[in-house]
Amino acid sequence: MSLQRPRMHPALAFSLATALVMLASFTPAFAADPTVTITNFKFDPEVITVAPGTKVIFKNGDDTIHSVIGDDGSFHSDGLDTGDTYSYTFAGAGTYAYHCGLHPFMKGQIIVK
Amino acid sequence: MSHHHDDDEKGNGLNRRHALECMIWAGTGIVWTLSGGVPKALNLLSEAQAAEAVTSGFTFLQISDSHIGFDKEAKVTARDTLGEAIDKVKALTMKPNFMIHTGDITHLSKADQFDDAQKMIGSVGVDVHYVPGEHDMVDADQGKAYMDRFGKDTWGQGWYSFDQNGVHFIGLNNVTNLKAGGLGNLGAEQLAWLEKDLAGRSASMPIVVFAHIPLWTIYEQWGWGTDDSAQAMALLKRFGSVTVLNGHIHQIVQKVEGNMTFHTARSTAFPQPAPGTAPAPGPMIVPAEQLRGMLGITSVNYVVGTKDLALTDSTLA
Repeated sequence: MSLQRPRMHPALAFSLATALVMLASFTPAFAADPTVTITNFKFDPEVITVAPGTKVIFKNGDDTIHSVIGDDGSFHSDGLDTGDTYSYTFAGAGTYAYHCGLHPFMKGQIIVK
Repeated sequence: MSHHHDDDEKGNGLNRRHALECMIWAGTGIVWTLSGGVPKALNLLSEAQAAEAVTSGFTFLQISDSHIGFDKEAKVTARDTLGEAIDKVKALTMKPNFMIHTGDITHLSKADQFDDAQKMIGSVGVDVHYVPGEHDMVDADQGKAYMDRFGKDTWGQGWYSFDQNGVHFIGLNNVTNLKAGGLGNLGAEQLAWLEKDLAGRSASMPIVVFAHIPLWTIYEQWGWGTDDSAQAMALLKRFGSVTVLNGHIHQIVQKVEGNMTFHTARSTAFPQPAPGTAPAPGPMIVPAEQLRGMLGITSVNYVVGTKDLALTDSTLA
């Protein structure tokens, strides 16, 4: 005895596929935003490459506070306590160097291309 | 300063005991006085000097890194330990003439944190001269919260000077606009002001400089130094007595170089590791019952490269 799999109507399959593509394209919340975690006074990963328009999340996993300051001053967070996050959307292509405003030896880069 | 105490062990007179009484809570602050016209930490004095100091009628107290808002220790918060420190200040037999706070008043630059710190520290009833730490400049406007409170009657980003009993005090800000990869920073504007402030002063006038981040390099890898401090020191070099008081590193480190004495204070909130003894300079989280003891026992013996730094191994136990 064999079970017959119900066949999907081609038009329905097409519209489902279209919907999935649209979800992927227009509701980025479904995809995990790239995240830089601060651990032991380091940005991890120190360098990430993302597409233009990507929102990057910075999360402080340390016991003390940190901040995220663009070297050119174009973006900055407040002080981030343990577990706090800051996000910034990198619109244009380029290399965005940043550092911690409290501990400027902590450095990172977001490469947008 | 256990070494100095050891040197002074021969006698056990009232004066020494009195000086020690002033310092018994020294895990939380440092009492400074004038001895022969030169600022000295009370516990660094010999018995005779301490006796003179106690009657000279001029002391000031350094408090640092109160970090109000730091509450990782559920049982003992930074508010609790600052409260204890202030109670001890109030219990001193000789009330300090004024206090200086060498920064990181708050943990997150929040209004309620500044409020509570000012209320507690102000309850001593003497003038308090503040300089900012980097934790006091992390509000959304990057320093407005601090400047609104403490920026009145100051120059630039909160630097200033004043005279007391023939000593010239200079409060500096080396925590704003820190450059990527750099250390603490004074900046050209502040250095120009300092040059003007010192111009025309007699070289015999004792100088006390206070700022948050150490004005000499203690441990570059952790940012424990100030990029352009050498330029400030060059301006101060001609003076016969220069005392530099800093915080930031939550432990006592001292260096003497010619006529200059450099000294960092402990925190009232939490200890930090000695340079290079941990992966990062974060807070040392210790059980509540050990915290106060930990605040009092850190010492440093650090060698940079192949050249020894003349740091004093200092504990107050």
